[in-house]
Amino acid sequence: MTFIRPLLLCLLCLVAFSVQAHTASTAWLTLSVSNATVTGQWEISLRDLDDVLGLDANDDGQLTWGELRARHADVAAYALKHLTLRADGDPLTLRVREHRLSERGGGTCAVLRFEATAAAPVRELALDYRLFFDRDPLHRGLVSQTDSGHPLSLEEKAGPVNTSVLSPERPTVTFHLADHKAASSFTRFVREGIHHIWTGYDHLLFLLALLLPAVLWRDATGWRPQPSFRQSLGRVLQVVTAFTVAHSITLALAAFDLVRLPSRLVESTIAASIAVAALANLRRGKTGETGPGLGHSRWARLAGQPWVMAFAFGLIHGFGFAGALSELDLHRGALAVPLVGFNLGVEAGQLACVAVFLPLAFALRGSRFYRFGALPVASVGILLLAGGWFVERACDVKFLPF
Amino acid sequence: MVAQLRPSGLSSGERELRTLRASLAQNPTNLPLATDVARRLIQQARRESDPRFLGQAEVALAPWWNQAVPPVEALVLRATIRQSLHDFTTALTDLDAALAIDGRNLQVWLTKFTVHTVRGEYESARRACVPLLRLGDNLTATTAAATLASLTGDAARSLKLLDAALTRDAQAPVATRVWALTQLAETSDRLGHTADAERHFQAALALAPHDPYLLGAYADFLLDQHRPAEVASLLRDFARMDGLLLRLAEAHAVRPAESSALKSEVAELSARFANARDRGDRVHLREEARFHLRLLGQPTSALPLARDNWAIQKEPADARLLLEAARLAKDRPTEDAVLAWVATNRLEDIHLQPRALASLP
Repeated sequence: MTFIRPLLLCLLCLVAFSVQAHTASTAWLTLSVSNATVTGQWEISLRDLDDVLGLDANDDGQLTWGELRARHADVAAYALKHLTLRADGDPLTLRVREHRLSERGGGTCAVLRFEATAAAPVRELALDYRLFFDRDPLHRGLVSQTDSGHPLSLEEKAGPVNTSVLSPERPTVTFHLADHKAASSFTRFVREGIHHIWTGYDHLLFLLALLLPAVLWRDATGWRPQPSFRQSLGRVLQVVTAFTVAHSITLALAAFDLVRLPSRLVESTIAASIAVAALANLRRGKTGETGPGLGHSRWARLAGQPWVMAFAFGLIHGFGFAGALSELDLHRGALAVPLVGFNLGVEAGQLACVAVFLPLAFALRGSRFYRFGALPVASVGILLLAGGWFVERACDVKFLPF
Repeated sequence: MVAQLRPSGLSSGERELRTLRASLAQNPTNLPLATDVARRLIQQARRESDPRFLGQAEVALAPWWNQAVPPVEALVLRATIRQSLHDFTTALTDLDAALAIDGRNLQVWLTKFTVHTVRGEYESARRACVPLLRLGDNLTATTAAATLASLTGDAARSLKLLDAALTRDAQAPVATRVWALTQLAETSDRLGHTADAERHFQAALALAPHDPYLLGAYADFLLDQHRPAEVASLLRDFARMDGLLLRLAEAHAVRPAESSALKSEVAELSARFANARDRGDRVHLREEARFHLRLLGQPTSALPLARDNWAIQKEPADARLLLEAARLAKDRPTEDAVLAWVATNRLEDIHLQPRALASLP
């Protein structure tokens, strides 16, 4: 019995009663890239560093500032030996600029702030991370890459856009900075485009004024419901396409700074365009038009071809979109992605409105409500509102609540 | 001082371990040396409740770690490490492989017994318990059998067995006595024998005042007994261990004077759970569910965590957590499923009874 006792002493120690885990060994590496400069902040648990470097010189369990400072160079050398960064294939030389401390993961961390300069602006940053894997395979490196474009401050926690968990099984990661930037900007600009069309009522009101009569046609006795959905759809598509083509042209011209118009002129003309489109609906109701597109007076000829109006005024609306786009801070020289994204967002928002409007208008087109209520009353309303906007924008005053 | 690396200076055991690790680095394929180092590191992981020592133990076993069938000594340790990381399935595979080589290995049977018990697989646990009675010493075998009995409808008899064995085997090793006393205390508590539970917890703590498992179990008992002030003083020096920090915060949560301490503890726990999630760890589910349920007061976010935890381990504390989360989140089917499981296994636990559930906030 006596010889078995020492064995049993360890027997039970090995039976883990549901370990109440402590935070496992983790290091946090945050990288920031600005053109050819890569800055990094690496937070490494002092307990892990002590295990490999013996920082606690007198082994009393307490690490003093003196003990740590005496070993700063060793800490930096050990850490950097286990990290390789490559910018577009070329290894970077990392220089530790600063040693600090942080509290993280239930313990104190050494914070290494380092910097490296690549030969050219970095497009692809590859990381090979081996810290502590040979000592503790449960160690994980949590790597974030921010594209804030400026060096990190220690307090900065927000903004990591790309985080990877590095382990012995997966010690490498590559950040594609150009792609990543383009993708995130692209979706962002699509969203901005949608946002702009939804919150800038003027573009939608202009379209609405042009589309209201699309489900009707006029004979000698007055407005008649358009019998075919296909023809209504065709007219709507004509208008929307003309508007899109026109505003895309001027949006691009303005975005690349080839044509520049004063914002006050653009905004006033946009208000005027809405008023004109609404007025055309009302005028068309009074002339002796015999069918779609067959007017006699100058007003009627213009109104009979709504797509002409959509195109002509669409050119002005494009300058308005450019104004909104310029308010989002853009980097010169990388305009194509925002431009396409923003424009697609505008189209998506526009199409969503049309998709709701057309079936509804087509269903209601036969009703007296639509022909004698919706069309003239809505047109008068739009006319008044747009007139108000015009005065506000042209005279630079404010009296409307929206 | 910039950092507390260890609660105290280097102990003689830690100094010895350092020397052994250094000689292992010189001679990494020395199996007896490697298993000695790994065993000491696993013990330290348990003592400090810190998984980094499990990782270091894995490195000590590196030459054998990826072998399909390493020597039995290495297999047992690999299984123990995997079990500690809640990788129960592969741990059991290792244990069965070890038994195929050496069917009389006490350590293997004991580990297998523990894994099945934690997972609520009581039939398999019973089969692993039988060889313990034949191979093990009296107190180890009795404690295993009594543990099983206490979970499967024989709690009263389990108490008698343990009491008798502890008296009879007064010279048993400390670790075994602590295990037996902890079982006694927890079973007494589940039966509502509060004074007995208190007495057994005190006896166990007198032998092992820094055992994280024991501290956690006693803190839970005190919290149930509405004695938060004692929890606060019991755990004051153990906030570095996540599970004990959780209980410390729970104690502060019911003491209005401690609201500023509570605020920083909740922030710290949130950060540690977020870190575990970032790492992809799954060992924190029980604590995280409890954190959501009791400290954040969010049963709906606690419920999926408690359910995921229940899929991995099924100790009475896990049943209670899932039951309470389900009750507060008004998830009747889950509540019924847990109660059905409790009834099937005849688990006796006053905390799972309708009266206890009715008093939930």
